[in-house]
Amino acid sequence: MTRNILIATLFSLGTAILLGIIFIGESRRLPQSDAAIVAERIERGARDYEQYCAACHGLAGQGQVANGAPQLNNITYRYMTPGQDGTAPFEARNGIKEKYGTLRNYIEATLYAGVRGAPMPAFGAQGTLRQDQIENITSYVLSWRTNQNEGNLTDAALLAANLEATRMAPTADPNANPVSQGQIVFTNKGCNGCHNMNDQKSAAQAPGLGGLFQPGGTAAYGEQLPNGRPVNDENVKDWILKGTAPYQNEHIQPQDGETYGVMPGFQITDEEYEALSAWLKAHNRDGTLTEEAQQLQNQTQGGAPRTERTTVPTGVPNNPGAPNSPAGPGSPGTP
Amino acid sequence: MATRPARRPEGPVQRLKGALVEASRSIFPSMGAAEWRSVIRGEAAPRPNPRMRVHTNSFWYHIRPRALPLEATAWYYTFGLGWMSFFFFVLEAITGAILMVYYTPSPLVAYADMQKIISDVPLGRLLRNMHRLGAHVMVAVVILHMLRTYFTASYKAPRQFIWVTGVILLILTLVLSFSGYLLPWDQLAYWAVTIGSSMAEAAPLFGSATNLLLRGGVDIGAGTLLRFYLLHIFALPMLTLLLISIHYYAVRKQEISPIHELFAPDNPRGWGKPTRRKVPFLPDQVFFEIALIVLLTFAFVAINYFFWDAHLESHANPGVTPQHTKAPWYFLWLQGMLKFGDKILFGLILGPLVLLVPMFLPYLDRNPSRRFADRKVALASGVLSLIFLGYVSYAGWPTYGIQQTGSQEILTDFVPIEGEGIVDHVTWSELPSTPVVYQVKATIGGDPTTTITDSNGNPVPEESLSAETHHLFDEFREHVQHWVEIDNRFRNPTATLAIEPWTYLQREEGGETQVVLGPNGQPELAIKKATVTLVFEATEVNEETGEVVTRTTATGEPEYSRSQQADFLHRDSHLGNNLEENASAPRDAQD
Repeated sequence: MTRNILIATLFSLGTAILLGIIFIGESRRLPQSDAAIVAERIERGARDYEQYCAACHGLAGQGQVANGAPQLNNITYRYMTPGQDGTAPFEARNGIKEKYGTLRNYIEATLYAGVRGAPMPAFGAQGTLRQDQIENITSYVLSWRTNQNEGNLTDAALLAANLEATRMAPTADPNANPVSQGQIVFTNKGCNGCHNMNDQKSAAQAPGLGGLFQPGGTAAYGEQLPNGRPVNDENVKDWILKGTAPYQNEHIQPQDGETYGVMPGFQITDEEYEALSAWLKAHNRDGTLTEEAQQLQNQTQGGAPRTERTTVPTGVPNNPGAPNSPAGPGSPGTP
Repeated sequence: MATRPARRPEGPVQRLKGALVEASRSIFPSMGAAEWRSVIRGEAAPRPNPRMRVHTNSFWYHIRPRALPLEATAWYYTFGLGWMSFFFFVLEAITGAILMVYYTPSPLVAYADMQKIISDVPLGRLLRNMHRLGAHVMVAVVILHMLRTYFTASYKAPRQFIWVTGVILLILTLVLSFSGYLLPWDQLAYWAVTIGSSMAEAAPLFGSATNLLLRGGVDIGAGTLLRFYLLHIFALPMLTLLLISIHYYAVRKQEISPIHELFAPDNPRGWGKPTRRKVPFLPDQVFFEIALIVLLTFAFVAINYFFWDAHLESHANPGVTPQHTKAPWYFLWLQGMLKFGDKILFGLILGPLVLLVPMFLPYLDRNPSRRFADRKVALASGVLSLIFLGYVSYAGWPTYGIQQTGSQEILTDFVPIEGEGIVDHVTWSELPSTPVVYQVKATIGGDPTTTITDSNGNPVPEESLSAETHHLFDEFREHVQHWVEIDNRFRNPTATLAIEPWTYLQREEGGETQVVLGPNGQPELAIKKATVTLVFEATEVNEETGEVVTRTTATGEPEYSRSQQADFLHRDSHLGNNLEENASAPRDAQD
């Protein structure tokens, strides 16, 4: 019993001392732990950025002016630097500061609600991104800020981003067949950022477009568009130009029971649409090429681009030497 | 106390002493200073024994017996497991009550609250660790307690009822522990509960209804979290407390079972034996238990601070299933059984049997004897059942009987979409800060050829890389070779692991953001990016022979498949974790 009293006394003291030591150590650990959580948010934001944003805004946030996707890696500089009238855009009248308070709120709100009249989709409102993902991506975008016009990205990052951009936006070949030209439009306009050319829904909640013009139609909506109209050139072009917005009340239920995100409107010329429709018409629902397209490809290129073909890389990730691949199952980042 | 000596004027010491005695009397009724003195000196109790009156005069001490049988206090043969179960129940209640203060059961904020507990609440991480580990240990202790009871045949008459309440308590403990899984709302929470609740669905008749009731909807969402939270903090603990009271009341009533081996063959139940030796509660047992509580608390705090960390995974993501999703370890047997396929046999018949047979065991086992020699069938079937449960638990392990694809495995092991991979566990500063590309070309049976280059293909001298980077590259090569050997859909791959610097570190000073310069004048990095690219021959199944063959183009060249996944590594993301990761230790691929 005496032994028990001794043990109890000693270890009560021991526990108290241990807790004391731990408690004192907490003042050092807590800020570190905080920093680690912020760092983790940036890491996860970077990954989500690559998956959801990089198709238009570039791997390094360099933007893609042709499609109206602004440069993001200088966003702090752009909004915070006073212009000729001495006011920064951030503080302009009726500007961001008045409406959103902080740049972070502005970016989060844009990610959530999209931009009206521009291809920027409402990632949050349509259910593609969760609130925590929106916050993470914002953390990553804001981690780029510097006072220079260029972000704080390394040369390696900018190089990789350029290579990726080249890979995603190949130059048009006038001799290429209509299907290949359509593929170029499909990648240049960023369609492949969201849509697969088969029966699979993508990570960005967009329906697969395989079989769109074939009998039976897509796996998602069959022979109809989400606004209930039959698939034909006129309606598809109208849909691309306007997106979901004007047809909110005419939205039909997907046949496969999945939920899909909202399609933003894209500006597209008649020639571009012609090429694009050749590409869309060339696919069966399961992602394979139709017979005619197959023959066309064999004549001009000697091979079908139906699978992700690539030469063995020279050791460079995002190998620029690799021929473009149509968006296979999954978007860039998900194999 | 008819006559009292004339009171002397009281000094502060006397008053303090008086207060202590009063306090002692209110905690230990009828124990005054004199009685305590005799306890501390180890004197024999006077008669009538004032230490016994404690129990008759106080509600709390009434719960505990005035004296316990010697076996009940000895380590052998109870091992104190029942007592320890209750200790962990109380520990969970205390730590859980404190954690509740910082927690909101909503998918929108639950994960942020967990981060707050870890990074903003002093001792928060310790509390969370203790609560998590305590739950696992409690399940283990309860299971051991049941095994002990089974193998010493303590469930037999007259103690059948104790056993039945014990089985119910085991189920309650499992459900209590499982209901807490969801609350952090991270990937582990989401997917373990997805698996757990869809196992309920396997029951044919009312399975989907149970699942709906449990989830509060088709998918796991806000409704599910609130349900699990209320179950976890209110309904189940209350029910468990009630059951513990009944269980312990029954134990008090029947007393703990005598040691079975002591019985003569002609008196198997030990009836009519002379009164066994008793240990008085006061002082022996009470000090013993206090010492044990203090010891266990000390050990548990130390373990949770120095040796164990309840890892918080990334935010629940319904879109990305972790590669090796599995149920909690104590439900692996169920997952394993369901993997064998037949839902009627394994889900409806065997599953409930695993719980129901033990429940009615005392009524099924009519053998009155408690001696090992007379219980060969019972002991053998006990051991066999354990082996069976062990086997189906092993079958429940995610790698069992599931066809893995090499390319997916390598990407997930090194640069997973959610959670941490092998690359995350390399010390950040030891990774190269200039672009380095490690390339492996592997074939079946051959030695993989490797190159280390920069991003332009110029060779990088091996000496310029740190030992940890070399270890990482070696591990990558081994993984690639391993999967080439065992997965015939992963053919002749060219695998690259590229480490690139991605962004520079910057700091705000005087309203200006500046890139931070390192000691050598070079800008410090904030993020490094690790990219794994796998290019391998595309395969398809030959429909006639069923063989896996390489797909070829019209001209007969092999087609290639390409998989790529990247992971961003921030310099600070492992800060504040005092369990320093040993980066050179290969991580278990199942983890």
